[in-house]
Amino acid sequence: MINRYNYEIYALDYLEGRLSDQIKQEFELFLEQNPDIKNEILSLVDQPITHPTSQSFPDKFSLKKSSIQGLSYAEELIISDIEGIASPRQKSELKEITTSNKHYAQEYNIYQLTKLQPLQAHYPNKESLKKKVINFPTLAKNAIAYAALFILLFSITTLLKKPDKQILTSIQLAPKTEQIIFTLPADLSPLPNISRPINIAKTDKAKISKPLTTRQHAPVIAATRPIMRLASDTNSTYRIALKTFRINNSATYKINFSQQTKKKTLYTSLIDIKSQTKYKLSSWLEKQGIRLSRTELLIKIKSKSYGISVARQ
Amino acid sequence: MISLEQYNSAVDKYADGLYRFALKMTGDRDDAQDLVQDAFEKLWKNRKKVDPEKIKSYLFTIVYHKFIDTYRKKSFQASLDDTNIEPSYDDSYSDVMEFLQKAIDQLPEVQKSVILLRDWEGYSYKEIEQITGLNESQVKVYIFRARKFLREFIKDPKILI
Repeated sequence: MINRYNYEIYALDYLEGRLSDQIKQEFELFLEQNPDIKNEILSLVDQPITHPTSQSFPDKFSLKKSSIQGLSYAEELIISDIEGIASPRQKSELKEITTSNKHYAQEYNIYQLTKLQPLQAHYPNKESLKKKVINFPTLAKNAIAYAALFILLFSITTLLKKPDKQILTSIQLAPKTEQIIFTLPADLSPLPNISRPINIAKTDKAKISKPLTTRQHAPVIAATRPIMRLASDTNSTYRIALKTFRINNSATYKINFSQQTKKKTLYTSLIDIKSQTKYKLSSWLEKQGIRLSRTELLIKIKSKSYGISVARQ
Repeated sequence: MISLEQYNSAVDKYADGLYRFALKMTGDRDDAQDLVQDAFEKLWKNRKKVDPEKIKSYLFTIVYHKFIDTYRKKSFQASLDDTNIEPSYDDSYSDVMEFLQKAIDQLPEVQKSVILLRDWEGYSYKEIEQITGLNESQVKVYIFRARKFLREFIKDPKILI
């Protein structure tokens, strides 16, 4: 029996259509007999169904885990964005997190400051790091290579060459003094046009003990001018212009290529010998029937710098 | 093969950046200069082997490894294990950039290297991987942790004003 004290038991089932037909008819009869309750029940019918709450969990990002140990999920989102490697999904999440939470918005701004700015330091003397256009080491290597080649050629030439009429009787290359000693033939005839006294400004006085004149000592040496002092070396450090070099009798002479000591003069001497002495000496030697190849001189000049002194042995 | 012109151009382009990097890593001007000189000398010696497109990374690679091999021995206490390092704070800094420069010096070496390469030189993770020999994931982790470390230095937001 449905009455005013128990109708609520049936009300909800009635609204949801779960009453049997018999009870439903009985409940509807009750409602007709009790209009106030009927109105109450009908008002429930019009009430919208309650939906799940739209409220979300506050700071759900705090529950998520970061792929990097020691960082929160939010921090990973922020740094990924700063690093420019955030995925579209991460960007979306970051936007959500920074707009909904001021704390994360502030964190984002702070993290932006961790982008470092370079120091204003400059390398001192940058030019010292640069390489010059001329590759000196390469040139040096080439020079050494050429010198070695010339020495090799000279050695082969010397070994293979037979003395021409025994003119060139010996050639010796001493390691330190770098001397070339050869014996001139006895039948060399005097050269003409030797009219002036020898003017050797300074020479090895131990070997040439007194002033020489061409006529007096033409058999020995004639030199019109010593053109260059090469170094302070007391042993044969004068070079004589070989164009005035004269020998007219049999004797053994030493042509001493003395190494020079001062670099600057060394270089000048090198050029001078190459451009003048080599040609003059070789042409003179050819006239004398002495074959002294240019290569030989070139070797000496290339390997070191030499002055030339002439003295009778 | 690097030509003489390319080499000298590289000096103009990269010597300063390389020097700043080395200076920040070593904290010593003479050491930094030595590192840069060594790097360029090595570049010159190996100019026939180096790809002109990779001169910059070649130089940074040399400086990085030279630093790791040589200078790390001087400060062996700086452990690569960065998990237990606590930032120290100094409220006397008023300029945030100056503050951060000091903060960088307290970073572990590897973290410092990668974040300098990243921020100062703009290298990608892949390029940093090639320079340092770390893998890309490691590079990312070191950079992220470095930023976290630097952020911890900026403890008081007032300092940013």
